[in-house]
Amino acid sequence: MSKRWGFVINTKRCIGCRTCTVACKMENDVPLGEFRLKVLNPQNSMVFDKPEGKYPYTKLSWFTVPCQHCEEAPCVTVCPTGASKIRDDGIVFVDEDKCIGCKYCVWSCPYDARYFDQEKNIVDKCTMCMHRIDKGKQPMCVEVCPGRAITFGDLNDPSSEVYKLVHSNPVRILKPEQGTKPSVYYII
Amino acid sequence: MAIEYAMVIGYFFISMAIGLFCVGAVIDIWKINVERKANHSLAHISKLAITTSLPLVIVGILSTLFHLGKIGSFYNIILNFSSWLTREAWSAGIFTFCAFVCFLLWRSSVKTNNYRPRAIVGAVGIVFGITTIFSMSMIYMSVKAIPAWNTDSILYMNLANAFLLGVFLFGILLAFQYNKNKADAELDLLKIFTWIGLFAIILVGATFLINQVQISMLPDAAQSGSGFGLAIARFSIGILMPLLIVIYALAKKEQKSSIFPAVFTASFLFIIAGDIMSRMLHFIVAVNPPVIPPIF
Repeated sequence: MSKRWGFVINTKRCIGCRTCTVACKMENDVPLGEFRLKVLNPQNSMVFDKPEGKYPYTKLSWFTVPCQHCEEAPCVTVCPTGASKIRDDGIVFVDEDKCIGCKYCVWSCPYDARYFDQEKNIVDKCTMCMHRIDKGKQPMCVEVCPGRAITFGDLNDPSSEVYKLVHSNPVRILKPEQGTKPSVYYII
Repeated sequence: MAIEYAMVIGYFFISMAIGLFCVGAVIDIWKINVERKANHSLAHISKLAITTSLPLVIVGILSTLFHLGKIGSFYNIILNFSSWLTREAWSAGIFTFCAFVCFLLWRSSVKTNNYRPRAIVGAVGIVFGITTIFSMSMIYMSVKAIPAWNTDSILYMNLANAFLLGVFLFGILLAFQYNKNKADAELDLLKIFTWIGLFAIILVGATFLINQVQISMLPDAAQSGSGFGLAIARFSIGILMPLLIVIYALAKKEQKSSIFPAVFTASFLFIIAGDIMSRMLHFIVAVNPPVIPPIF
């Protein structure tokens, strides 16, 4: 069976430091005000984290949201130029030479994972750091996470850590009703 | 979502061009082929409608190109037929070609007194005009991520808006033609178009209301409170005012012939305002529901 790269994100281990967001921006030269990976609080915001519950039983929690690299990616289906593609290993990416910046894929993404790059005039997104993966390295967000909340690997390989995590924990995917079959699983 | 003004303007012109072309082409087919006689005054009006639709659709297509990040690479759009945007581009292109051919065929039609080729190309143009609006609607209707767009009423509204814009612009052409040369134009047709206009207004009003009701029934995060004021304004300006004007015109039977150009022009201006607001509203209500599940 071919490889299918994916993330398993353990929300219990996330401390909301957003090191992954910053490292991703630096690694991929993400423009000011845009993000390839967002660490959202329960209010769906990246700022003003508010504790939930009543004192003394309060808690802070976060949800790390990169591109979900969906098997049935709506962004790929709607792209009029074929610039949005899925690699054999499941990574969804944008071919910069083909993209015309029509933003149709931005609208069609249920996870708000894409942005319009004002400098390049094209749409861009998380590529799972495929330039690093192809060299045998881990994606930058995985590399820098101090809480080891993000695990990366081959979802089809029974010996991989992500496979074990997915099959030994009650995992969830985001917006299952959209039928996109994401490659990012959450341990809540 | 931010309003894409290039799309608002582009879709407005494309819809108007398609509506106008369809009216002109239907008259060509109806009068020339069904009645088996070439009525030159009517053929002149339909020629005017079809000719006017050509620059309108070109302006519309050019305007939509301005929302692209890389306008110079727009030709990349033509190859991926699984995308509704590609289908829309092809449909709009063929429609424009049909409008251009109809325009070219005018002279030969008059010389040979044979209007059949123009009517056939007109029929093809109608099909591709409607296909363009269908594809344009499917672009939004197929976006499952945005509940306000993922609804059939988008198609009905776009079809109704194109119909309304086309009928009223044709009404203006017809009314001015009548005033210019009363012997040429047909008052009966003018009356028919007033009633068609009235029907179009009711149709658009109904589809608009259905759309608003559907949006109001969506989950809380998918609604947009900021769109409500604009929705009311669009409804008032786009629907109620032309309705009053047409009713007023119908009541003033004695002055009908002289009042028609003013009535159609005034109604059309209100319809333009309503249509633009409706297209802005389309983007304002497009809210992506939150990514984080509520139980988290």
